[in-house]
Formats: sequence, structure tokens, C-alpha cells
Amino acid sequence: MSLPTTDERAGPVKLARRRYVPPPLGPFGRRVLLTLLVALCVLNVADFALTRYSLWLGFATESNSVMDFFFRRSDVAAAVFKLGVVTGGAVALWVLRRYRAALIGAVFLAAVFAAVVTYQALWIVSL
Amino acid sequence: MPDDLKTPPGKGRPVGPGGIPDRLEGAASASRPASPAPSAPTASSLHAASLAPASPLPPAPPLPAALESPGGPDWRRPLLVALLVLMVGAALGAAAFAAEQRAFVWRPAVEARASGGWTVTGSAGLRPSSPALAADHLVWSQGARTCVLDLESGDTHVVGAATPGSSVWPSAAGDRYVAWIEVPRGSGAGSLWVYDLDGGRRQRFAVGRAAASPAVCDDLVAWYGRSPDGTPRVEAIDMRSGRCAVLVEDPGIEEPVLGADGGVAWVTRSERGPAVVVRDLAAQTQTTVALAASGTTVDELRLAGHTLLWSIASGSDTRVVTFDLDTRATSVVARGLITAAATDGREVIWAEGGSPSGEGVVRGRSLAGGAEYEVGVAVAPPTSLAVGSGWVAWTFDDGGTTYLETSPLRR
Repeated sequence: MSLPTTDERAGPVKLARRRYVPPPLGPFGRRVLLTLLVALCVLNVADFALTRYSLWLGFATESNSVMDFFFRRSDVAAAVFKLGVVTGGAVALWVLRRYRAALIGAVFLAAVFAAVVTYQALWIVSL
Repeated sequence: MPDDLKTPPGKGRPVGPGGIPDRLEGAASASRPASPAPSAPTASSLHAASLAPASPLPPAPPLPAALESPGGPDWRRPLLVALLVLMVGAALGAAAFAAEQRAFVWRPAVEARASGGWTVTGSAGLRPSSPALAADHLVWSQGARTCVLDLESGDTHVVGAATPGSSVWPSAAGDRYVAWIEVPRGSGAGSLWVYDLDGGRRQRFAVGRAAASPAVCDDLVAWYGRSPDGTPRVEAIDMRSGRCAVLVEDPGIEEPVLGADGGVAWVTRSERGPAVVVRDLAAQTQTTVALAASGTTVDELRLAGHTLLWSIASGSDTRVVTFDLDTRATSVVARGLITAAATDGREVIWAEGGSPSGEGVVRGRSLAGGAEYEVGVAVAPPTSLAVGSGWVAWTFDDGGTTYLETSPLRR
């Protein structure tokens, strides 16, 4: 007697493969995400202002070649580019808020921006 | 607020002013006296109660979605978590800054002196240059770096760091600006750096490779340069307007350029000997001062206020001479084994060597008259001097190390 390989009603039997699906972000996680994204935008503005001030002071050079290109064109171009990119990224993370990776990305970015802004502020004070 | 940030239904209760719930659960059923013994209301009973026409309480209007929980969604914990993330990031940034400052950022070795003032100790290959004093700040170069010391607080700032191999002209200081010139090794234009003591801003201007001897006069920064055909000239930039100008172009101009109140000066050499030309920029007048006869060594040329100072050496005998640009009077202020001299337009300071103990004594005298006085004693005869803002600074070598000391000017 041979084992049946097909289900006459449902077609071929498929072996279920278990894949881990992380639970979606709950309300608490989404609130954290929103707070971090708002903080990210504020820190981005602070980063731009401190960078501009450092360049004006004459003690710093823009090591990011893309930002250097925009700073050489005009401050407005640099501001539009920098604020636009980060704000766009923040909006994208918010659109993807059902994924846990969005929160992880926001945590990483907010921490990096906080580190950069703190470093810049201390550096300016030390001048 | 997006719907997914609201508190899930059933988790909260509407709250009125003072924290009193707007609507109590079961209130409608409690108003009915004939109601049977209290029991857990079912969905159907509540629905029926809300539809009862005899109910004394009108049916509550539907609440806005945002008020479905007391005070809206709880944001305190999310805010705390976000704050924690930001604080961790800030701590990392502060730690990176501290580590970088410790490991890579050079600071001059500055110590307070017991008698008042400060001592800067040079290290191998980093000998302090001739100092400059202005506006309660001491300015000097050490290796490729230009440093500024706040004489009141002792705060030190490295305001310039030339690229390795560059030659740096010792800085000049005015009441507001500090200037120095950096010329890179090999090809490439030189750079004039100007640091604003008030605003802390540093600006760079491209100058020719022959640029040298910067001088600061009010808002004007001047330097020695050469025209494209090689003729020596004095160039200047007005820091207020940013305008550059060639003050004078003459084959007889020699270094250095000197700062003066309201003007600049430069050295010329003729058959009759070295002379200094002082140009008053406001009046557009020039005064030529013959320093000494031809063949005589002129040293320590300084110009401050309306006083020109220089020293003439003859064997072991050195004379410190001053010239008043207003009265055109020349006077010998000091004589002896003088190793350095300086003036700020009010005081003349000089250093004497030759003592049996090998020490150097710094003395001073007011240009307004009076006896000479002692400013301080150095372990060895000073090799350079500066005076200004009520301070005196000098450098001396001892045991292979160069020291830069400052002392308040006490008459």
C-alpha cells in the first residue's frame, strides 16, 4: 500500500515551514518610535546649526564630501539637503512603524545623533 | 494623533475635571430602584438600559477618540525610554570627546607661578617663540602651533595648528586680533591666519609665499610681501571690511613690518644705515626715523603707541633707544649687558644678564619719567621680551628647555 501524496481536495500536501515572525510594534513601541523620530529631527537641526557655527568659527572643515559640496554652494542648499534627507528618513521609518526594525533603526539613529551633537557642543566649548 | 497611538478600547475610563469619571459604569442601571440585585451587567442589559426611555440620565454623547483613556495615552514611559536612548548617545559622544582630547589633542604645559603670572614649559622640538601681549592675552607659537593664554583665568587655547613641515611666523597681537603666517613646505601659497580674541573666530587669507612678519594695528593686519615681479611691499587687510590693499611697494623695504597705533611701519635700508618708515594711516603721513649709522647692528626693533624702540649693540655694551614720534625726541633708556627689550608705548622693559649667579633680571622704566624698577628675575637671561596690558612676558633657556614666563607689571 502506498502512502497518499496528494490530497484530492486540496491538491499537493505542502510541508509547513515555521518562520519566526516578530510581533508587530505595539502602541508603546510606536510612541517610543514617534518620540525618537521627533528627537532625531530636532537633533538634526542642532547638528546643522553646530556644524555651520563650527565652519564659521574657522576651526572645522566639513569631512562629509556630500555636505561639503552643498555648503560650498550655499547654506540654504546645505540646510535643505540635510534637513530634507533626515526628515524624509524619519517619515519613512514612521511609515514602516509596524516593523520592529523601524524602532531599532530609530534608536540607533537617535543615539548616534545625540552622540554627534554632544561631541560638537563640547568641542565648540573647548575652543 | 494616529489611531494606532491611542490606548486600546476598554483600557481606560473617561475622566472629567478633577479626575471624576464623566460616566460611571452601571450608573444607568443604578438609577432604577426596581432594579434587581446587582449583578455583573451584560452587554445586552447595558444596551437595553441605554435605550430605556424612562432613564433619568440622557445617553452620553460619543466621546472623542483621543479621550478614550484618562488623560489620553500614557506618554511618560515612552518619553523616558527615548530620553534614556538619547542620554546613552550623549554619554558616548562625551566619552569620545574626552578620549580624543586625552589621546590626540596637544595642550601647552602651563603652570601658575607662585609670584603671580604663568610659566609655559617647552618640550622637545616645541620651544615657545617670542611672545606677544595684548588685551590680557599672551600669544606665542610653539612648533607649528599658535597658542593663546588668558592671563586672568589661565585658560589656554590652541588657535592654530600648521601642517607639518610648514614654517610659521611668530604671531603678532593687537587689542582684538592675533595674526600669524603659515608658509607650507614646497609649493603652494602662504596663509595669513587671523584670530579674533573677542568672537573666537579664526579666518584664513591666502597670501604669497614670501609673506612674513605679520603686524596688527587696530582692525588692520599688515604683512611683508612681494609683488608678482618680486618688489617688496607691505600689504594689509582691514578686518572690518575685508578689503585688502597694498600700503606701499618699494625695493628698499626690509622686514619686519611693525604695528603701531593708527599706522604701520617698516624697515628700509639705505646707504646711510637702517631706518624705519612709520605711516599714519589716518593722516596719510610718513615719518622716517634713522636708527643708527651704517654698519651698526640694530636689534629689538619695536613700535608701540607713538614710541619706536630699538637697541644698538657695541661689543658687550648695548643701548636701548626710544624715539617719540610726536616730539621726535630720542633718549637712551638703558645701557649695559641687555639681552632683550620691549615697549608698550608707556613702559620700557629690558632684560639684563651678566650677574655672577647667571640669572637674568627684568627691569622697567616709565616713558613718562621716574626711576627704573625691577619686574622679575629669570633663572637665565631672557632672550625675548614683551610688555602690554599690564603684563610682562619673557623667554629664557635653561638646561636645554625653553621657558616662557609672565609676570604682572608692578612698578
